[in-house]
Amino acid sequence: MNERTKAIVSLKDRLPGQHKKLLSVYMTFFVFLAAEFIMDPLILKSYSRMWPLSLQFAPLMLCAMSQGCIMLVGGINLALGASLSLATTIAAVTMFEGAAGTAGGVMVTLGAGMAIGLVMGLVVTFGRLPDIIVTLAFSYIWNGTALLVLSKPGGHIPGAYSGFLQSGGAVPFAGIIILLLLVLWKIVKNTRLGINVYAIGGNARASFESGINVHLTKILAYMISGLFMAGAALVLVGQTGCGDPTIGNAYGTKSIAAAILGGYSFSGGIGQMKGAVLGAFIYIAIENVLFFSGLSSFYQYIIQGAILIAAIGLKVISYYRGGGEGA
Amino acid sequence: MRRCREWLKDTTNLAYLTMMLVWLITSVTIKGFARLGHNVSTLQTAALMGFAVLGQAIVVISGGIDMSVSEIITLGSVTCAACIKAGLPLPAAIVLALFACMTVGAFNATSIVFLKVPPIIQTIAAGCIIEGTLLVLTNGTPPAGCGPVLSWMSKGKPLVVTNAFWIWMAMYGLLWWLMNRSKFGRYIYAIGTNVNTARNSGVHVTKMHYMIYMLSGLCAGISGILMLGNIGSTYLTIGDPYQLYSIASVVIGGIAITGGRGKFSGVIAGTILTVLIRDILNVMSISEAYRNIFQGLLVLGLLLTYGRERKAG
Amino acid sequence: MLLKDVFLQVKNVSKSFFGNRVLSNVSAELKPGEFLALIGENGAGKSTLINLITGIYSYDEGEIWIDGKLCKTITPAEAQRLGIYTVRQELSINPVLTVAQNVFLGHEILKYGLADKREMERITRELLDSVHLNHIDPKQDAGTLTMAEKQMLEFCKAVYQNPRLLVLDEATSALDDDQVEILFGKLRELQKKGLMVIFISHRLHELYELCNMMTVLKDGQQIVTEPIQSLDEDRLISLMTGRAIEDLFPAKRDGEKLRRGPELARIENGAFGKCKNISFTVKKGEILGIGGLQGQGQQTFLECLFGMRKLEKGTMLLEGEPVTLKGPSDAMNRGIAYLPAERKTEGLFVSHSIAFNLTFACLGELCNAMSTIRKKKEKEEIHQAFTSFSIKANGPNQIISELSGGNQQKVVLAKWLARNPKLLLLNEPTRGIDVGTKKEIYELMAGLAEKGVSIVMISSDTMELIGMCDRVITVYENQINCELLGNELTEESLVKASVFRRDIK
Repeated sequence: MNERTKAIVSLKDRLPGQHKKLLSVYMTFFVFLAAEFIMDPLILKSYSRMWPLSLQFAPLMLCAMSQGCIMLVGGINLALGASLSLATTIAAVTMFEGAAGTAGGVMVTLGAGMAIGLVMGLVVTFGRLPDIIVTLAFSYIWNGTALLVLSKPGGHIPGAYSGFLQSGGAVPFAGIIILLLLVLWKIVKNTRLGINVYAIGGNARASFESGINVHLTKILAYMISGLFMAGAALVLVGQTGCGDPTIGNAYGTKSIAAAILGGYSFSGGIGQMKGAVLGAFIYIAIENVLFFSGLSSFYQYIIQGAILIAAIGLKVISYYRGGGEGA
Repeated sequence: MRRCREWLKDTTNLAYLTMMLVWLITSVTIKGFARLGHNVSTLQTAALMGFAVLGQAIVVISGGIDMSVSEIITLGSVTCAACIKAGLPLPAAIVLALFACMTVGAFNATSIVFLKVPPIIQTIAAGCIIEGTLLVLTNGTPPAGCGPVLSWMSKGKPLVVTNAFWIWMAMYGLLWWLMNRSKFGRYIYAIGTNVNTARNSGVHVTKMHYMIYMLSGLCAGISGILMLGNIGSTYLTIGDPYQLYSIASVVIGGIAITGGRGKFSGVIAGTILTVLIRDILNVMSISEAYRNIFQGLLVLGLLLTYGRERKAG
Repeated sequence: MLLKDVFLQVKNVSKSFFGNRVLSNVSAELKPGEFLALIGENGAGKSTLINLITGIYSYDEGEIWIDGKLCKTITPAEAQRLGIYTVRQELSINPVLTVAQNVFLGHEILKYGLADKREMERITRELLDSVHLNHIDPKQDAGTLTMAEKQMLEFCKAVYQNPRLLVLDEATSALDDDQVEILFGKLRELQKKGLMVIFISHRLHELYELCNMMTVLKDGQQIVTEPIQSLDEDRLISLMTGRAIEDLFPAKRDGEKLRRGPELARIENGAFGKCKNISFTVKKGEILGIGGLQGQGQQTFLECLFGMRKLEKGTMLLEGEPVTLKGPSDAMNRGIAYLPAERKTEGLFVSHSIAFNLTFACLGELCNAMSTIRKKKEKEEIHQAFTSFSIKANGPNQIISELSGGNQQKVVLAKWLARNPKLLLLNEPTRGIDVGTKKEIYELMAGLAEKGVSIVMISSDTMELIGMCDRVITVYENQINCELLGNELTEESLVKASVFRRDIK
């Protein structure tokens, strides 16, 4: 037994720093990946089974990435669900048939996502208010705005767009989009903006004294977060074929749970985008496993709560068992 | 003049002043608002959610936040209804319901203290769990049960205003003593200001957290039970609006959302003002969309005017 | 009218906060290669002056010329562009970034718009080597460094910017003597290239060692600016305080009598935190000092005695009886009190009133059977504390963050002494406190010891340990290294006992 732990420890030492921090996330990911294969062995046989699967995972992955941006700068976005609803309604009323119409709608939605982030970022920074309470208040504002745009599920999503996203082409597009975003983030992370985002999450005051524009960085983080959120909305409308002013409610808490599962911390500055993606995968896989075993859908709320507490709690417990000191 | 400005600087005073002004203006301008009956019903609405606000205020002062009050309200009211339907005497039903609510509080405290889950996440999670559990247990339709006694306790008015209001006042008095006159109140403010110093000065932070969150559970539970008495039946979303309302009332009452600052006495003004604003929105019969937007903007606006974090240094 | 080679000229500058004049008519100038020591009691305006120069505050009256330009309002970023960098006491190292990222934060070397990690890590390596920190990896998270290492890193970060003027605000507080020496060596090297330094430190000898000019501030007024050689230590102290130095510490007592006296507390073969096999006793009415280099585990001694840290092995005896402390409140009930080192984050509720803080530890005694606080008794208690500790404030309802550091410390002490403790644990009781208040605190401690209260204190100030303690134990790498009493207690022996392992006795 000692041999094995030693082997794991030495493996851990050899991994590069950022992977070392995600080791437990990787391990959990593989466990649930295996579980997915066991529940649905067809995935292995038929390539086309991947598409619906990647569509099932993509929105939450994007939401978790969006949530992750805010958690990096030390906040929590409680308005994510409501703003997601709003973005789907905006997509549904701005998209028109034809390539130009579709692209226009996509652009408007992404722009709206950034604007949503911008407004919240401005209030949080210049109002000097805690993120939690500001985003809570904004969740009502975005909810109302979504209802103004579409009072009930509706609008129009071009069939070609949905088809393209769902099965058109030879590759699962939602998965490709996420991979692309991960690569993009990898680049952003190494720019000054990326480093500053981590820096202000770690120690805002010191960052200010190092000449970093803390307000601007935070606002930009909110805008990037809004962009990811709009991406999630675009995938969602492709799936459902309409805008829905309440569809986002389910994603608010889940995105927080997924980000935590992916290794983000509330104190800010800790977490990686690929962690968010894996966390979202793990989250949905847990749900899948439980529903596969025949639980009623009412249980999803309980699972949501339990995952949230367990994800944080387990980290704390393992920290203490590892001989950590202090709080 | 200067004293007057000093007096206005106190957010609690400001809250009471605003409450009086809003009440006066609405009484004069909106038809029917001046009637005694309307005022009694305003106070009744305030009282019903007021219990939850009392608990929320204590949690906020201690530096936390309780996002599960809405679900605890539902839990209290559904449990009570189920017990009554099952044939239990009313006192037993109430005690059981309150016990269930306080258990949730204890659960919140346990996670926050021992698993170090941030209060906001823990209480959101607890809310999800309660919601799911109630759905599973009731299969989506809660039992209807409410005797005449409970109804009377809630909306009977032997003394001008409803009983619920008087119970609310009694509860407020008790908690006012707790927060302002007893050492526990000092400890709660201390925890909200600086947990480390509090711990170093001999405060049992763990015990205090249990007390704070269980109190919040208890208060929300009373809200739920009296709401059941008020309408005679219950439903699984009965508590939903009160998540924002309870936080809004605390903020409007002048208590700092960051904890440790603000007078407990502000909660009464905060609660009544929230109800008045809600009534105005109802009277103006605007759509749900605008109402949501307005409520969000209102909370933001209030936070911006007096809920700001003090500039460091 | 302005000398060409003067880099910084401060002319009759004044600054007020809320009508309270904290700096009036202060002037200073710096030429390349000059090292200026800024000295004064707490609240004398040193930090304010520095904040004006580095652009954190703007000034009300006067003029500040930097590099031949009049700077009416400057921001921290502009000050940095002019070559002014600050190393502060509060560490600004970012724990989630790597060491290299910390050095380059805000000034990353970019290649095609991306951070050039390899180059930054190479330069960081060189910087670390130049201050003898060979064991630190530029890629490791800065959160894993010790306090002293962080402070050195902070210094590296400033040096990399090629500053023209470096402001060191208590930047040596976490360093031990060797590290201070390394730092000073580096500074002297840069002095030849024209570096200027403004240095604030509570350790006087460091000022004498490094600087060539000295400005003394008192109550926001500039008392004197002279070459440092012409100001000897005695004159300096009297300029700062208006008092002579000799009576800083109260007279020593008969150590022999104490040693034969009864014992109050004892730890036998204790293990806590990283410390193993610790045994020591505290006699009744004794002042026991715990010395040693920074971060050798001294603080865990006090935390263990106060029940904040579990005694993993061994036993603790209190007045001869074995006890297991369950936590701070248990320790308090047994008559133990603890004054933490970090006043603002662990000792005070800074946003509350003096009264709130004063009575907080003894609320239990002020309550009646119903846990209700008896207002009258509380008032009496507060009044008594105010008079017996001569706390300077507008009244008990003043917010404590408005008080000076010294008065804040008095409040913390008063809070604990209201409980009449038998054992008083003091962690850096005079850190960041002006000389006047220091003396008051020393007298208070001596008075308590006279009354039979045992005191255990940690201090990084060697003179304080020698001046106050009846006995000192030094800690080296989480072990008790040596015990010094009576005449053995000299500066030399204490330093030796802190640096070397068990080779003297």
